[in-house]
Amino acid sequence: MAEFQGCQLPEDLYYDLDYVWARPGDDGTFTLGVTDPAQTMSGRLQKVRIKKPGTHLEAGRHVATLESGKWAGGVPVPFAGEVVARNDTLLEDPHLINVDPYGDAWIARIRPDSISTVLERLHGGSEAQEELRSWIRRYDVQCMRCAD
Amino acid sequence: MESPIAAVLQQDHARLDRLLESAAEAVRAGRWKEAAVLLERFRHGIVDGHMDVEEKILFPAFERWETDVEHSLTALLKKGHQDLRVFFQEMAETIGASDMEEFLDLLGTVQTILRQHDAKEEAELYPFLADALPDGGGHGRRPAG
Repeated sequence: MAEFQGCQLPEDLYYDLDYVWARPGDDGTFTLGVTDPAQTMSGRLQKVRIKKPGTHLEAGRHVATLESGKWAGGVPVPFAGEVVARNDTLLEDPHLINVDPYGDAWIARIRPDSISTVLERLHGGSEAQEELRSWIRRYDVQCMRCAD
Repeated sequence: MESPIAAVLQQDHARLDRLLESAAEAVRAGRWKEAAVLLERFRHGIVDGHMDVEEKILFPAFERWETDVEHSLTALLKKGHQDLRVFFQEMAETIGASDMEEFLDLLGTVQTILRQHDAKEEAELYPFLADALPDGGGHGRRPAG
């Protein structure tokens, strides 16, 4: 897995080049979560709210809000679609996002309104890797692994 | 000693906090039309006034003075503004839908963001504006709204 300033940046994911990663599923849905540098910038998360399944969101709207002692913010969806699942585990254990942001701490699965527009705001490959490195430099982020 | 520009901006934070709280009070009382008007007054004041002055005048002046490139502090503050604009739109929609529970959830998050954002500006940005602005901020624009 690619790494920059201690931040893990999996090459097999798509990114909005800000907070969010996206993983396409076989059923036409996309699983979303927040990146390692984004969870680092957030600090130890203490509260998570995630929209309920069935909620429709326009591109750019927040599917979740995250709060730590030092930070609060939203997790935007990169494309319009319907929430088909959310990770209820995070509601009880928000800190899991700090521990396993690309795995068990996925946030929601979204079915896009139009599959043809999904990639308008998502990027992959070397372009995404370079942009994410710029993001990390811009916000002066140094990632450290949380073990618990 | 606190500079005049820093004092004006801090007072504007307090004024905007009061405006947002007045919109929240109207929501809690179920006065939805009044809440919509008050939230829009708050949104106009913070987005078209306070943030506009910061993004067009103050952040660039600070960046020129500090490093001559985009600074991690102003990058973070600008990102906070972007997030807040989306939250304000979502709050307005919950008022349109008379959804008190959703509004109050969003309000809690937005007030947390504003508290942290404002504290960062007041501690790390405003104290340096008198040096960063060409006229010491004495003749700068006052935030509108």
